[in-house]
Amino acid sequence: MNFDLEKLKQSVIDGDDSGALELTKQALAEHVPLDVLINQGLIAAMSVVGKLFEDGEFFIPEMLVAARAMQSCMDILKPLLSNMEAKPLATVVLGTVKGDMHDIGKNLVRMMLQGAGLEVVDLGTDVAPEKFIQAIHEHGAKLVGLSALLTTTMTSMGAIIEAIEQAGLRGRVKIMVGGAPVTESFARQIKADGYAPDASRAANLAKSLLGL
Amino acid sequence: MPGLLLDHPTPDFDELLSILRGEKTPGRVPIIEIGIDPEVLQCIQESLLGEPWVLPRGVGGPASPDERYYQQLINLYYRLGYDFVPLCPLWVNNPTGKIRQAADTAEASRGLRDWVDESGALIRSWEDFEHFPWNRIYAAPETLEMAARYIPEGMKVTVSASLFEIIFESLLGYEGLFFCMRDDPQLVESVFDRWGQIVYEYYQSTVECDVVGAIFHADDMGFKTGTMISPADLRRLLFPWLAKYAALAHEHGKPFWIHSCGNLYRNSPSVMDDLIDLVRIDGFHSFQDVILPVGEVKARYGNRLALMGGVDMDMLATLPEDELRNYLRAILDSCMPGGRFAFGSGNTIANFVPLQNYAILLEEAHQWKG
Repeated sequence: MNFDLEKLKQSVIDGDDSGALELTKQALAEHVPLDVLINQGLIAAMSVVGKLFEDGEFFIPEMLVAARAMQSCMDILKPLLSNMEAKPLATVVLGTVKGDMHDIGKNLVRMMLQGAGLEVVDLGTDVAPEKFIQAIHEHGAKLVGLSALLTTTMTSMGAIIEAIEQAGLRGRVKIMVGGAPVTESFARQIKADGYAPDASRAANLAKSLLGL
Repeated sequence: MPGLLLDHPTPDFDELLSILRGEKTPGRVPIIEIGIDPEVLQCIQESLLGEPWVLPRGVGGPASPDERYYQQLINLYYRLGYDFVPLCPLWVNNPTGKIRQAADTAEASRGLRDWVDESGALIRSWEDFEHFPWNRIYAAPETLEMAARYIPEGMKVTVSASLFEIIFESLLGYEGLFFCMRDDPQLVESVFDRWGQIVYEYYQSTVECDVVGAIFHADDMGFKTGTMISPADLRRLLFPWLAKYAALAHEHGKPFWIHSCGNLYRNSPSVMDDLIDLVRIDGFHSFQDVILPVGEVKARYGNRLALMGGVDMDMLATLPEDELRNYLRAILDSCMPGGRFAFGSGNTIANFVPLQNYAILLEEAHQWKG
């Protein structure tokens, strides 16, 4: 294989979406296996982006443009994946809890989860407990991510976890929480499985909770 | 509710400044807030003062500010024991960003809570920029005139506006700003320059007034683990404007305080170091224990600037009385010695803070003896 995967990886890290797209097309023309392209190219790139974010070298704009570059590559790879009936590593249901319309933190988590190779069902904002339950059933999710911005809305997280338990799904899904007022101890108090302080660590936590 | 309203307040803004500058050993715990939610003030106005609540101006239209609102606002801050009333501009001819609404789950619920549409933006292109009414936007001058008519002796107002926050909340939007920083950096710079100038003109027109005691600029720069954009970009885009506002305040012998949420303490020099050394802020407001508790901020930066507020919002909103009192006393015990500290919420008295807990905060401030 002559294709330079490092070059593709770097173009995603740099947020160079047109460059990354060209290289992906070139890789396809050179018959680079899809799993290599995705795992060693795109997902590996987003993993570096996450590390740079955690280390304080990347910030939200750099993370967003990298995720956009990866997405533009995935847009042409996804149809090929469905032809192969390839399955994602796992499906995550993600949403901002009832009463809360904060979007950006949750969207960053979505991008980083996708960057980690997970399928994400984003329920959006102001999501009621029953919608989470419905989505877990519908998509066979193994992980639920809950986001909240305010002290007054984070209490909904506990109600959602209780509703999932009452629906008999607690043994089937792991639950992770995050958001400005959320802490590790609050996560333990409401019986979440994990807490992440930012989008990059959320992706790491998701992989660890899913045993990936 | 005991502890909430004072019968005979004696505001002394000059003394507050002396304490914040470290010139005077505090004989009392000075209290400050950059904002108290209208629902909280309304509740106090109606249930404790027995007076009807007046809105700032007509709902849903460009009606003029209502003088009775400013009279009521000043009286409330006065009776609560503050030395100043924070005033925000009422912008005229300023297009508003897209708002979404959801049921408000707060104790003093406002029914529906407004949320910024984080994917929305007023400016997405140079065409939008050119058509934006930059030259027609101004702050209604009568708000300050009205406030000046009612301010009691010893009390002042502070003037607060935002630059970065307005850009990411409405002008370019969160996602718009972040993508545009890569795709069209010149547009980002131009938006900073135009809104930065509008804010400058607002401060310029107000800071010279006698009734204005300080500029209390409000611009959230970060979140739990870092700043939204890189410190290098903050230095390039935002800090030159903040430094101009600070210089303006200082030219008039007044302090420049800043409110900013987020983790500004990473790396060295940190964003906080920059705010102190480059911008030359005199006081800092906004504290979250999950980032860095105020006692630790005081230990690290307390000899270089004044710290204002300090009480974590989650603690204030959720702790039971005994734990809350202990928590508040611990802050006072660690931050009051040596002055350069004023006590209050780490953010605002939001409508999800139980009124009882707010009363406890004030009571602990009034009772603390060191």
